[in-house]
Amino acid sequence: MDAVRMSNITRLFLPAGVRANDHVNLSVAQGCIHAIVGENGAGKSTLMRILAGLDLPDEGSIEVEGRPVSFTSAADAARCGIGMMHQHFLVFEELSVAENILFGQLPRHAFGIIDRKRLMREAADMIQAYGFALDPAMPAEELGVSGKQQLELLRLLAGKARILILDEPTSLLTEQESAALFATLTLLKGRTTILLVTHKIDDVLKIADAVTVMRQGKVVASLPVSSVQAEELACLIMGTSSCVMRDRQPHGAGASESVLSIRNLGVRGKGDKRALSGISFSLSRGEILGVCAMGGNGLAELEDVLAGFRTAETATAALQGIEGFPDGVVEGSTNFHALLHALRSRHQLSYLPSDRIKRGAAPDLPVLHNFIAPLRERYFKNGRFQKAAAEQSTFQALQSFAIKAHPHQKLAELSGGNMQKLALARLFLEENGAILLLCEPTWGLDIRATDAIHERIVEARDRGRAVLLLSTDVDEILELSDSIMVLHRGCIVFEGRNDGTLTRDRLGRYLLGIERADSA
Amino acid sequence: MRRSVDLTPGQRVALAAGTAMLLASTVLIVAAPQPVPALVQFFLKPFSSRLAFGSMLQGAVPLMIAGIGVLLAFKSSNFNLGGEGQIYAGALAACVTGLALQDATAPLVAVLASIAAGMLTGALLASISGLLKAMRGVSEMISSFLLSAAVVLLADALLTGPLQDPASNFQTTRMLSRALLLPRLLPPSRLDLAFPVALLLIGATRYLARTSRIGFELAICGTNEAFARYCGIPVEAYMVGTMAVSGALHGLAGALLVLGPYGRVMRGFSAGTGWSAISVALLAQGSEAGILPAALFFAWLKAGSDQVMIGSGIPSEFIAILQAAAMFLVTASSLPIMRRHRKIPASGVETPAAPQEPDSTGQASSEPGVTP
Repeated sequence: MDAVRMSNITRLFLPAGVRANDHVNLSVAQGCIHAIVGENGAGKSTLMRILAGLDLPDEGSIEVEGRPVSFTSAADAARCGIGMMHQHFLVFEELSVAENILFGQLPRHAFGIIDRKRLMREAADMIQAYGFALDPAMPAEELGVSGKQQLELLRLLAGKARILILDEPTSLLTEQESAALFATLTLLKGRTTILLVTHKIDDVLKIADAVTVMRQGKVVASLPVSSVQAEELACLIMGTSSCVMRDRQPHGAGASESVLSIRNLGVRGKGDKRALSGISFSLSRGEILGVCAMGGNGLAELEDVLAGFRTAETATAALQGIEGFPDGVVEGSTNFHALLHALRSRHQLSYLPSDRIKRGAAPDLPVLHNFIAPLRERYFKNGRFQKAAAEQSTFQALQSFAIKAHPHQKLAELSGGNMQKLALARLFLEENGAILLLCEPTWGLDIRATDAIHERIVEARDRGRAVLLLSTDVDEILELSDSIMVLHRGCIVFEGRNDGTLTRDRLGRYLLGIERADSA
Repeated sequence: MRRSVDLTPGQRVALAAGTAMLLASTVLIVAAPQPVPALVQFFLKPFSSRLAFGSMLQGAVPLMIAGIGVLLAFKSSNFNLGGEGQIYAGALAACVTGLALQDATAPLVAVLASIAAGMLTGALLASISGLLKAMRGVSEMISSFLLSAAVVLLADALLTGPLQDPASNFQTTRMLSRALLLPRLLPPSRLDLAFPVALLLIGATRYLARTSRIGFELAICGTNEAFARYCGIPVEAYMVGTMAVSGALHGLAGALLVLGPYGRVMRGFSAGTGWSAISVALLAQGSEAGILPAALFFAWLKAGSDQVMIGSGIPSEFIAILQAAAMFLVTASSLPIMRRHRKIPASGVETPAAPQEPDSTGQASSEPGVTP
């Protein structure tokens, strides 16, 4: 008997008339790990949302463990044993680990008072049973990414979920953490059916028993993993016959002229903790410096300071050869902040924010407005809007970056990949900028979009721009960077050339703070 | 998770306005001793004579001007709830200036000075809220509302004390000289030059919003503040600036009422105009051009119910209920837009090229309109 059988599922998004799911059939065998793969917008999330009761299909039927069901809420789905772990963790930051795990079924005394002792004991038992190392009394906000993920997994299991849906579970994990997660999933397999939404082909081959490939709202293949090769899977996902996975070589031309070096950057964190301390690095023309860290280790603070959204506590900067700026040293946090502001407003420092919606877009406004906003002064002559010119450059950018959108379409209607490509296209308009600050440029994007964006980044580097790449994605850092710097708890734990000696495994050890390079 | 039909903003407004009218008719039919004449008075009397028609148009003038003021702030995500106080204070400043200058200078100078005084007062009041928001993060909704409540009391105190007309038993200022009052356009009604001024103002705002860089930057500030900062737009300047302009327009509305139909300021001068202007701006659904029909609709409601009150012996409380119900419906129908403006949508990653799932925003949007 199949654990899940979805038949003829169709979901139409009006008024655009897009079929997010088009007569999709999916059968998942009991107790196995079934991967759902596809590009952004292929419809896998919609399908999983329907299964989890978060969306209604326009057509089609669902059977769970042989019984026909019809969900109108996530609670309905939960009663049938279906639990979904979201990409963005749903964790109550202020509550303890134990409260988070047993949320919704807290053990109580008479009169509904929560039984703290039993709560801690039950949570500790569960944590032990699944082989995790969480402290039940710890506030959830102190957990790292993988801790929060374990927490969410435990909560679903405590809610008696027999069918787990995991949405991109490894996208924020290091190699070591992914391996630990996979070990847990292997342990759960058999008792539990697991649906794994991913676009990492490696993950599928490593852990899944069966795989369903989706493209443009349809299922294009459903196969056992034992009978499929990596290249074949990539071809199926992208829908092309030639889909050689590129192996990009780092530039490695050796240090060239430095444009901006920053020394002793310090940022205050929460309470008396330091979010960043003693950060020094140098950006050179024609070079990509990749800075890698796990969430909560200072990458966000570094982004905020460099983009001028936050002031540093201590900082010194040395400039060299940036057009319109005198060479020399700038000291003190106020001057440093003013310098970054000037670099940004005079388009010498182009910045791609990691939060592409909150900081990088006005979703309610048209594509055109979003595109011209940072360089708007070009499109107002004598105080009047130059509509034709704005339309033309937007249109050109849409074409040259292969963005499927219309200048007058609302930005919110674009897929994540297209939005990101638009944000990047915007940066490339600032042709003469010396520095590119790129934060998580391909987060959540599929292979094809990622590849297109990586291509553009390398191209910018080759045209002599200095690129600072902040990313939590180890593969991205290793693939693109000429030099690599790793942060752990706000300090540099590794820095060096990306000369091939640095492996994913070693990088993972630095990221987790297990090891520290001597030089740092 | 019921999926509901998505109405366009226009349909939603029409639905709300229609329901308000239906409700008004029902109240009249139930409450009026003679329903048919009451209905006629309500719907048609405002159009029946030059006097009635002109008065209705005049009633729309402050709503148009203050409505533009609310809309402007609203579009930049600033909510000016201090309209009552700004209108009242603006009117009082205009009146005091006019009284002081009317014997000393030419009428035109006195009029322009009064208008300037009214606008400046409104602008100062509102920019306090803008400054507090920009510098301290104080909610401009709360500060403008509280400030306005205090200003209303202060103005009342001035009217019952130093500014009271010694010759009158009422709590009112002295009357401005006739030479200062704006020319009437449709005698015997009080419709005056302020009406075309308001129309021009709407046109100008619309033009600026569409073609000027300030309009463009304002729209970005209004939809996403962080993105505005990302683009290097001086967000704080826009907070203070839009609040100031919004206050100035409220002050202008007050000044034109003094220089137009009233010629003086009496206690309780603003009489809910500030609140009605908020409803007008909501009804206009973020469109400058929409202010005109919205203001006319509210003026019609007001004029119609005034006619009924005079003509058919329905107690004024019924009329108040009717107006409140209309305002409630219209406001409710506009709330989804307001909510969307204040909400930052979830990540767009992995969404197909289609609007966000309707169960997050769309469901609520159609419900308020059909509540009754």
